[in-house]
Amino acid sequence: MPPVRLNVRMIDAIDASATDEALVAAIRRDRSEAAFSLLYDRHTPRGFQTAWRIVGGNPHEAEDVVQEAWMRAVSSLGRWTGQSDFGAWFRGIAAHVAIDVVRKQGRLELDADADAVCEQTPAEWMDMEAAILSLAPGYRTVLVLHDIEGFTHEEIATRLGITAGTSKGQLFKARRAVRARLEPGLERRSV
Amino acid sequence: MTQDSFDEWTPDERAGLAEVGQHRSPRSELKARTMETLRDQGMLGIGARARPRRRLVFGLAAAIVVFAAGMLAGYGVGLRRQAATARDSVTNASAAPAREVARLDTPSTQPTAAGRHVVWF
Repeated sequence: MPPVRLNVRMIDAIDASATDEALVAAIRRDRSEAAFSLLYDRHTPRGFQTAWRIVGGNPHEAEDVVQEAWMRAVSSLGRWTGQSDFGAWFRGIAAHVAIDVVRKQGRLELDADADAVCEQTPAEWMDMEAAILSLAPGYRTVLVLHDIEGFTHEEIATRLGITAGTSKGQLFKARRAVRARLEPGLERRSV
Repeated sequence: MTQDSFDEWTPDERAGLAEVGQHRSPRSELKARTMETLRDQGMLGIGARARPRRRLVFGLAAAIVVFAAGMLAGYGVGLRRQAATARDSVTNASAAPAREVARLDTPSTQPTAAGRHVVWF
């Protein structure tokens, strides 16, 4: 791996306690690697988790998503006004890229019927993470975006190209399927 | 809670939701890879700042090479023409007396008797 080239002058100029606004300004003004490094360390973990949840727990795909999200974020830093939280803005980009990845793989079937809520039928009890990852990508995406990432149905509808009503319906089915896996007794009664 | 209705997540379920993927993190190589890609795209680092200057230098060098090549080609063509002109002039010089003789011998160039007739008053 080639050595990381750092601009020492810029490292000296960037304080680790600098705000996101200051770091973004340094990247835009000087293409500062030190500023980007700090911004990366602050926001990559949560962006990675967002991507990881949406792509269904594949760490390699999630890493590719994070890299692409940073590419898009840095190339469009001018669109971030500073009024919103940078982390939320970056996670929005990561979610968007992750959705694109799932969609390109042909896995994002948002009009699937209730029988296809889960990709595989679990035989035994699952924890929350396994239950969510077992959902079909379309349902999982809606549940992750709404219940974990805090997106509204309108925002989800815009990102996925569906109506807010469809998003609500998908969320209802996804929640029910997850709960069924958390409570196997309930699942057995329903099947 | 029934199978047909869904109220909200219980506090335990909410806690479980919040923990989904929390312990996952990318490999450390991702940072270097991302920064390298950003550098290559000219979006990060001093290399990116130097790139336009390097491009300008390459452009100037290419322009100079093209100009010099054009100048040499023009000089070569000029030399060949000069040599051809010199050859022609030597050939013309040796052929000129014969042509002059031929011209003098040509009837149309001979002065007529009327032309030589001078009337004195």
